[in-house]
Amino acid sequence: MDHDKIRTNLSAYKDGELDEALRDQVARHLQVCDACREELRELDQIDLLVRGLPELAASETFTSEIIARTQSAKAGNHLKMSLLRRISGRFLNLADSVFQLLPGYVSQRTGSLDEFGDFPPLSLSYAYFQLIGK
Amino acid sequence: MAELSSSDGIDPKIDSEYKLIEAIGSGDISAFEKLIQKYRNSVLNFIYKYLGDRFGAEDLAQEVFLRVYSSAAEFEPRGKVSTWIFKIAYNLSVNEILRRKRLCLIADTVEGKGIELAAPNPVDGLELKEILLDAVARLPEKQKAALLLRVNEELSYSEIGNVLSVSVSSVESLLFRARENLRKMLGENVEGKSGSR
Repeated sequence: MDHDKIRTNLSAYKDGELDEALRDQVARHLQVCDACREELRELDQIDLLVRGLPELAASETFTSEIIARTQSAKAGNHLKMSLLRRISGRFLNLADSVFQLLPGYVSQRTGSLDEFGDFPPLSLSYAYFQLIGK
Repeated sequence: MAELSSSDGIDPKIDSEYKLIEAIGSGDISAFEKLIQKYRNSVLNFIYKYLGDRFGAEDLAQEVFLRVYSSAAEFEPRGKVSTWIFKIAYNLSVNEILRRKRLCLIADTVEGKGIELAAPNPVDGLELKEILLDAVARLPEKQKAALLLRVNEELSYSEIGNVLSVSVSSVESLLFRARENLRKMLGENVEGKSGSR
């Protein structure tokens, strides 16, 4: 392998990410090539500098602020859902009132479906008919 | 949702982190606090070094954890939790850079000035670390992320590939070019000033 090809592998060699065969080739080349040894040294120096970049420490309220934001988001969702339920409930009532004006319309809330409600007690269907019968 | 491959090589040690994510997914706030304590500084510093300034870094780091919280229930334990968290941090940082570039374009249009986000700062009077922070921030996006994840977070090439959604050979090339570019950008500063550290 020529010098230029070895050069492009120095970064991965340094990181220990080359396969064994390639790693051995680079190691052998480094024994005889001053330029590559110098470049490897510079790569080490670059990493050392990057590792030494100034660090920030999270503020004391960092965690509590996130927790508060998750709680307020949750509260916001509850509010949205209850508003949605209220609005959809009113819309259904309104639609029901409109349909009641139509000739021959029988509202499901009149309890006239009782005749179909002979399900065993405690079954889901029984509970459902109890609910709509009221 | 982060798509994580099984090539990360799951260690039994990270099983506890899966359990932590599972608990967070079911709304366990103390588990969430534990995860934040563990990753807050590394996430904050990844974002800080990626953006090249501290402005907005903490807000963005908080946003990372909010995303973790909201998508914990959908987390698929096929890769490291840290890889997943850094993928969220990387995506948000890229969006932030794009947002800033858009703002610069708007300012440029409004004021009629030639403002360039990635314009090199004057280096006179700056310390080596500030010069370096500026140089890192000016690297192309993926090179910068790959370098920070490798050097500071010590992620493997495979893990970096998962964060950036690229192949291992692309990571190899990104890191080679990142180090090469930094070497060129720093020029004599590396040689001249590092001796005095």
